[in-house]
Amino acid sequence: MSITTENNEKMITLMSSDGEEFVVEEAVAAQSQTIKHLIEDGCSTEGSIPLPNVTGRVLSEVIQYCKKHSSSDDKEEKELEAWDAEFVKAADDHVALTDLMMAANFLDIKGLLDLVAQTLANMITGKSPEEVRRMWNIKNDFTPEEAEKVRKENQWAFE
Amino acid sequence: MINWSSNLSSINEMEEAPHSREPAEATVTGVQEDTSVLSSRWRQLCSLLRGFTYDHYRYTEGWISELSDHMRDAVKASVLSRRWRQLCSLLSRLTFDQKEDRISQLPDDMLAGILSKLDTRDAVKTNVLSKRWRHLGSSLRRLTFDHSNIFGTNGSELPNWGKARIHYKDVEGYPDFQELRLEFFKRVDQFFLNFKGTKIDSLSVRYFIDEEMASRANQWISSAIALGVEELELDFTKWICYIRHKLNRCSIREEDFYTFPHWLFTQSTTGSALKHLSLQSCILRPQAEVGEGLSNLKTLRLEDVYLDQVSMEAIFSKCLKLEELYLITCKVSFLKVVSTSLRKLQIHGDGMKVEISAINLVDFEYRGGPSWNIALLDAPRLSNMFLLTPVPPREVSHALSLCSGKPHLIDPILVMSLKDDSEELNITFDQVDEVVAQQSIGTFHSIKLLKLFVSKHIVDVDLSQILRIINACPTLEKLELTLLNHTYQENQREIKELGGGCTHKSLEQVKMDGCVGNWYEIEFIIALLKHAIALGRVVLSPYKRFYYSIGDFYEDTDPELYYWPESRREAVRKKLQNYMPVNAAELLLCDKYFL
Repeated sequence: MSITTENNEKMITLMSSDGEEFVVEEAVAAQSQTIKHLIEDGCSTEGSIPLPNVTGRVLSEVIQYCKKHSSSDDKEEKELEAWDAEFVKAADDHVALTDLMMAANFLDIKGLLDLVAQTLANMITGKSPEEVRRMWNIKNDFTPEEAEKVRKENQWAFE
Repeated sequence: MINWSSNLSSINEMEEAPHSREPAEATVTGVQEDTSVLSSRWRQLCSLLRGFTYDHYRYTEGWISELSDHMRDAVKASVLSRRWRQLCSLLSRLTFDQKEDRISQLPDDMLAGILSKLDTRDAVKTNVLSKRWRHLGSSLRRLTFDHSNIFGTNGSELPNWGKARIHYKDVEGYPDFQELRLEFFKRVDQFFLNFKGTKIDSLSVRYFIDEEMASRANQWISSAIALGVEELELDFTKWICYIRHKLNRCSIREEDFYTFPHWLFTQSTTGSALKHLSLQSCILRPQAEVGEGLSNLKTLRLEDVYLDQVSMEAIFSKCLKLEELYLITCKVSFLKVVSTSLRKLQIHGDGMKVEISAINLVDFEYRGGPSWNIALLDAPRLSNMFLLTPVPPREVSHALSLCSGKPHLIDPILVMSLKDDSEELNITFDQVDEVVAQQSIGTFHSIKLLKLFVSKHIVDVDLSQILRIINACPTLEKLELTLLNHTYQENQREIKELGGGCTHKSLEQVKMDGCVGNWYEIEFIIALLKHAIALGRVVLSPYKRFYYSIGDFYEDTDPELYYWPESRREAVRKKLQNYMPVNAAELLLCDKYFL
C-alpha cells in the first residue's frame, strides 16, 4: 500500500510474521536492502510487504534503527555511534539480540548486522569458556578425550 | 524468579470464559500456522507467546504482567476458554525452554560474523566451547597476530634492558627478549598447525621480526599463501621503535631488517591472489624476475621500507593492476614511477625525488620537501593534487607549473602550507614580484579552486603575497584561505595598491578561515572586493580547519578560538559594506565552519 504524506514522502506498510502492521516512510524501509529490492520490483504497490521471518517485537526495534539512520547524515557520525550503543543496549532488554541479528541478516541491513554482531562479540571478549557457556547456555558436547585434545590444540590462547 | 504458580492459577481461573467464535485449529501452540484468520487480539497474544518461547528468561517478568493484561482483555472480549488449557501447558513447558541455547541457533555464517569481530586470541578460545564452535573456528578469515593478542592484555611485559648505542643483540637483556619472541613464534606456529580453515582473507603480523627470525615468519606467509590470502600486512615498526627509543637508542643495521619473501609468491600457484600488501620496517628488494606472483596486486603500502629503483621497476613492470601506491618515509632517494594502472599515489618523506609518468593517475599527494623534487609529473588525468611545500615563493611558482597541462585538474586541491624552514620564511615583496613577473599571466589556466593555508610557523604573514598568487591565476573561481597565524608583517601598505591593473573576472567566492578581523585582513578583503568584479560571496570566519594528513583535517574545536564578539562583527560588516560590488556579494560572517 503506498500512501503519500503531506511531505510527499511515500509510505510503505510492513507486516510482521505475527500480523502486526507498521507504516513507515519509504526512505526508512529502504535502509533494508531486501525491502528496497522488493519496492524496486514493485512488490509494495498492492497491500503491505509481508516479512514472514520477523516478529512485530523485533520489527519495531529494527524500524527504530532504520528511522534514526535514514535521518542522520555522515557528519553526525560520533553522535550516531553513541545512539547505536544506547539503542542496542535498550533492544537487548526487549528482544533477544540473536533474533535482532537474524532480522538484520534477512532484511539485509549491514549497519545493524555489524552492530549486533559486535555487541555479541563484546560479550565474549575476555570471558573464560565456562563463563561463555553459562551466559548462552551452550552445551559442552565434547567427550572428555575430545575436550582434552581441543584444549591442547588451542592451549596458547589460554596462557 | 517468577512466581509461576500464581500466574498459572490466574490462567486457570479464566478458563471458563464462554462463546468464542475463534477457529479451533488456531491454537496458541499453532503459532507457526497462518495467524491472519485470528482476531487482532489473538494475533497479539500469539506474538507475545512466540516472543516468550524464544526470549531469555530475564525478560519474562515484564512479559508476564503484559500477558495478564492481554488475558484480562481477552476475557472481556469473550474468548473461548478451551484454549487456555493449552496455554497453561505451554506456559508450564516454558520453564524448561527458557534455558535453550539461543546463540547456537544462529546459522554458521552469522556465528562466523560474530567470531570475525573478536581478536584472534578470543576467537581461538571459542574452539573449546562445543563441537559446533570448534568447527566454526575454521571460518576465521582475518588473522591478526600481535603482542597483545598473543599474550593477552595482561600478558608478558617486554623486558626492560639496554645500554646506549650498542647493537641490540649485544645488549644484556637480549636473551629475555629472545625468549619472549620464541614464545610468540611458538604460539603462532601452534595456531597455523591447528587451523582447519581453507581460505583466509587477510594476515596481519605486527611484531618484532628481524632477519634472524625471518625463515620462521616466512612459514606463516607460506601458509597464508596456500590459504589464498588476499591482504597481507607485515608491520615491524614497533620493534624498531622499541630498540631505538625504549632501549636507549641501541643500534640496528640494515642487514638486521626482515626481507620480504617475494619469492614465495612466485613459487606458489595461488600466490597471485594477493591484492593488498602493506609492509613496515623491512626490506623489499625484488629483482627483475620478481613480481610474477604479485600480478594481482592492487594496493601497495610501504612505510620505512628499504627499496631501490631496480626493485620498484620490477614491481611497476609486473604489477599491472597496481592502483594505489603509498610510499611513506621509505629509504630511497630517487624513484621513477612508471605505471599505466596507477590511480592514487602518496609520497611522504624528506627530500625524495621523483619522476612520475602515470597516465591514469587521479590522486596525487606529495610531502617530500619542496615541489621541485618532482622533476616530472606526467599525469594527464590528474584531478586531485596535494602538495605540502615548505618554501615559497619560488616554490609556489613551481607547484603551480606542475598543475599546468592537466585538463582534468578542474577541481584541484592545491594545498600549500607555507610552513617551516628557517631563512626562506621571510619572503620579501621583491622575490614574489619577480616570480610572478616571470610567469606570463595565463599560465595557470586550469586552476579554479585555490586553497591556501598560512601556517602558524610563519613569523610575519604578508597577505600581499597571496594577492600576487591570486593574480597569477586568472581563471580562479574560488579562493579558500586559512590563516593559522596572525602576526602580520608590519609594512603592508602595498596591499592597498596591489591588485591594481589586474581585474578578476572569474573569482566568485572567497572564503577566509581563521580570520580575526584585523586591519590586514580587512584591507586584503577590500583589495579583493575592488578588483574581483564577479565576486558573489565572501565568507569570513574565525574557525580553522586545515588539511592534516592523508584525507584527514585538523579542526580547532575550542569555541573561544572561533567566536567573534558582536562588536567586532559589526565593525567588520560596516567597514566592508561600502566596498561590496554592486551586483552581488553576499557577506557572511560565520562562527562555524562553512562550506
